[in-house]
Amino acid sequence: MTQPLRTVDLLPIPSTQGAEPQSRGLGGLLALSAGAERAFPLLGVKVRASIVGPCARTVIEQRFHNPLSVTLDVVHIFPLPEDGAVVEVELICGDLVVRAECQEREQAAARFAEAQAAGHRAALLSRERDDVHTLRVGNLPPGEEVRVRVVVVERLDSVDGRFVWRFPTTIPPRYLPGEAVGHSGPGVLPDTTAAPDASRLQPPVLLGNGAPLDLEVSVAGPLFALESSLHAVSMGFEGGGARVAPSASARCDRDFVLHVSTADAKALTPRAWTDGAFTLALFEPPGAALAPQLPRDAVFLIDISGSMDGEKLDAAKRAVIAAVHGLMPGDRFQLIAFDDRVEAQHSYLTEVTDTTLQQADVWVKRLRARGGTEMLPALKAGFSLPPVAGRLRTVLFITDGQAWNEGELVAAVANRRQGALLFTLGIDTAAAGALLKKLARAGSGTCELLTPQEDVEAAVARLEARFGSPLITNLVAEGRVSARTEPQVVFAGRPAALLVEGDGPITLRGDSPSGEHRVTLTPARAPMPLGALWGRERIAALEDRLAVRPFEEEAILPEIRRVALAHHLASRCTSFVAVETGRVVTGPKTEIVQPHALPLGWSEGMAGQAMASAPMMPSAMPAPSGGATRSRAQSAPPAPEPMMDCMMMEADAEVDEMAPMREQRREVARSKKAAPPRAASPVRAAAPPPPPPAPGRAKEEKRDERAEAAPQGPADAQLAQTQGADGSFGHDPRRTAAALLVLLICGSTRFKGLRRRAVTKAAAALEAHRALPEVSLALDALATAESGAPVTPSESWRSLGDAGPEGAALLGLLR
Amino acid sequence: MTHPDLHPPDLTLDALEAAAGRLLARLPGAPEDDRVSAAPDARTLRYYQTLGLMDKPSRYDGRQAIYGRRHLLQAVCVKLLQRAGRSLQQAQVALAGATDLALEAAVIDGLGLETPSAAQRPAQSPSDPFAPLPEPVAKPLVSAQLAPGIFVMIDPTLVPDPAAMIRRLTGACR
Repeated sequence: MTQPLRTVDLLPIPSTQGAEPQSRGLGGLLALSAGAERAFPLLGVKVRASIVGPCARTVIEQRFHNPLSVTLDVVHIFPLPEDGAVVEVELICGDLVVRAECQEREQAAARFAEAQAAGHRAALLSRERDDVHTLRVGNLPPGEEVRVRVVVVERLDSVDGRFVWRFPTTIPPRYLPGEAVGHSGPGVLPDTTAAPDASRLQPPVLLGNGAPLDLEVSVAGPLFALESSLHAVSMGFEGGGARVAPSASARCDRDFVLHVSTADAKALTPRAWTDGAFTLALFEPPGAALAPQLPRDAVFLIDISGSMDGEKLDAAKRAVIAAVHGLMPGDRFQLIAFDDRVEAQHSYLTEVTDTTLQQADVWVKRLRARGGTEMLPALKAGFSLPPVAGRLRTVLFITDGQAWNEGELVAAVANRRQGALLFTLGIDTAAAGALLKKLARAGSGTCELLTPQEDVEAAVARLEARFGSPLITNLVAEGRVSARTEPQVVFAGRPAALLVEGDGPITLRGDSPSGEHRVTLTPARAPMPLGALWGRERIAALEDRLAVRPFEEEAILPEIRRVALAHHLASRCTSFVAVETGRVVTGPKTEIVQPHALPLGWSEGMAGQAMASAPMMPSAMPAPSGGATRSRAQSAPPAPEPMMDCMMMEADAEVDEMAPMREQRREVARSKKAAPPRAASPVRAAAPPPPPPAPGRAKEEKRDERAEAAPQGPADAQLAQTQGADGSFGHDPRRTAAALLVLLICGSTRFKGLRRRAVTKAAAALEAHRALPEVSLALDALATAESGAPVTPSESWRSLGDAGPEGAALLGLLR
Repeated sequence: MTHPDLHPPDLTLDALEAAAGRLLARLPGAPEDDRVSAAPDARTLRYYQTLGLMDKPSRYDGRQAIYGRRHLLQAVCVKLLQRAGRSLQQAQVALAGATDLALEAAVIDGLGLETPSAAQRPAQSPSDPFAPLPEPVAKPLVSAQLAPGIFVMIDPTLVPDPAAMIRRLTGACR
């Protein structure tokens, strides 16, 4: 044994005879706490995902070890992608693989309890919420290891032409409203009046690093671009597809987010796949026309609870300001901030004027993060004003979504929205996608999930495109049994996905403002069986219904059970259980609930507040800072210039058109800081050589520089913030014309681009001044751009160079 | 029965705070690190729960969480570890899966509730499940320097002739 030598003073030989009680070390606890190597049972998580088109299949292997000298039962409350369905579970003891059976929940639990009592090694996997699962591993003998393999299939959401794969690795401490009524589950929070299942949901917070994450994604081609927003990644390209993996030091402390643009993503044509028994159809009407818009009454709900503190709240503020400035003349708005109190800027809707815009900016900038996340009163306040005929009411809910009272929130949205559309914008490194997607579904809107590091203004600009009325309503697959029983709604950039029974050509029918819309699709062969996805979607539809109509429980629960058993899925009524009967483990036993690390950017103070409990602990670890990404970017090798067509990671075509400008700013940033050389750090050099193009890192470096140039911002973003309520810039037609030209050069028109709203407003403001030659020049350029021709700057535009800051910006771009 | 204070009746959170405070008051002086409080208050106890340092309540009496002996031992152990200079993170690792037996041994040890001599120990009923762990049997070790900078320690109860072994090892080191 080498262990004692480390702690023993060699000379003179210590005598343990007659030692003082203190040095005996609290009955051995001191020795245990000194050994930093001793860890929790979860040794590591290995994830292998393959993404083919709109589907992903993910194999997750959790490795557990018993570090104690007694037999151990492990409880692991862990996250899975909220749209995923667990289709397979295996318990692996050495060479022995036991395949788990999908059974009714109570039956599986009983079987597991029996095995536990008999001393057999066993595993039980139950689904608690869309994104929260519990794995119990029974009778792990001292010093031994088992692995549990979980297979998840999911359908990926398509957002603005990109498929998004988001893999959660930790469950952050979420806020729990209500009064405690009991504590039946293994989690650290009680069941409450607001969330009767809460005791099964919240794992303890791990002080220190999360378990190592070994993740690799293979993406089938043809690919246009890949982007990971929270990890530096390495990529390998093979046969049109790619393999993506974060660095070897990745930990379970944030989501892994991968945006995939396939080569044909720009053709927003309907697509369909079938496996013979089920068909998946993606549908978005081509060519989003400038539909006649209703004037809008926009309510903004901003989460300022303690968990938002730091860069999340900063991002939320930027989002609100961008969204308010995106309003059109004639729109009205209301700002509401909430934590455990609800504070509205005004108790009524305000007209959009220069003054109110300014007041809104001031009000938003003054917001500070405070208390608990009481979402229910906030949502009620958001829907409290009576609807007005002839106006579209939208509510934008900006939050990290970290609260447990899902059921009552979904019901409140469904019952109170009175025709308003609820859009959710989630900002976090470990997003609460399950809740925010459910709320958006109940509110007939869409859910966008962002990381605080992403370009919030761009995301809001894309979101604004959806704020208008939906493009298509009542979308159904004719003559087919659809997994979602409710007709679907289609927003710009968010194709509807329909999973239906049967194969062969499929006809979709929906209502658009210009009349009935009908399209027939011939499906291609599906990349994987679709039955599980259909079942998952049907169960989700049933659960949505249950949240709104709890009194139908007796009819809905048996149906969920039937679908889950038929497709072998984990659900609220079914679990997976595996028992290894070959061995009997005896002796004393204990239980450990595996803790989870705080997500990147969270501090323990936030965690404490989130759980409505704790003071800042004096001896607490230094808070993980959001600056981590940045410092890594500092030591990253110089960004390789994009060479290959599928390499550069700004997937969005709209964004790509801004690339020249960005290059320019980058030059500026470079010249500003020549001092610290961007050499590879020794640590990085010692690591296995990364594949030559490391676009993920390139991206990070760009972000780093973008942050430095932040006070300036991209020329067009800057403009969008200074635009007046009437669409003009400084009430000056020449300045407005210059601004319009800047927006055109940056790639926006009234129909496409990030700044389509700003363009629309500016163009409307200019109509009255067409007589001015420079104005008509700008409007002609707009017409040319909208006819599809590329924007070719003309020498005559230079005459606007003296038209205020907008003219200066124009000159800068023309140079 | 080891010590009456370690067998409390059902405790509410406030009563648990008081009980832990009483036990910890036996320690002389204040913690060296002035950021560590002498005893945990109710908020801190709830924080221990979110870290898994303290188990979930034994049960609920209406809407009142009820705690017991294990919670008291856990709360006191955290403070004892902190007073011994350990961080909360180290405490989390040390207390994970700790049995009641280990917790009680640590508390008795740390608070000096009982210092029974080795002679008294066998008198204790062996069937008492809460009896502290027997003190580890101390073994005098034999150490030697084989070559400059190379030391060995030999357990004479396991190695029959330590002197011969040292000679062999010294030979091997040449």
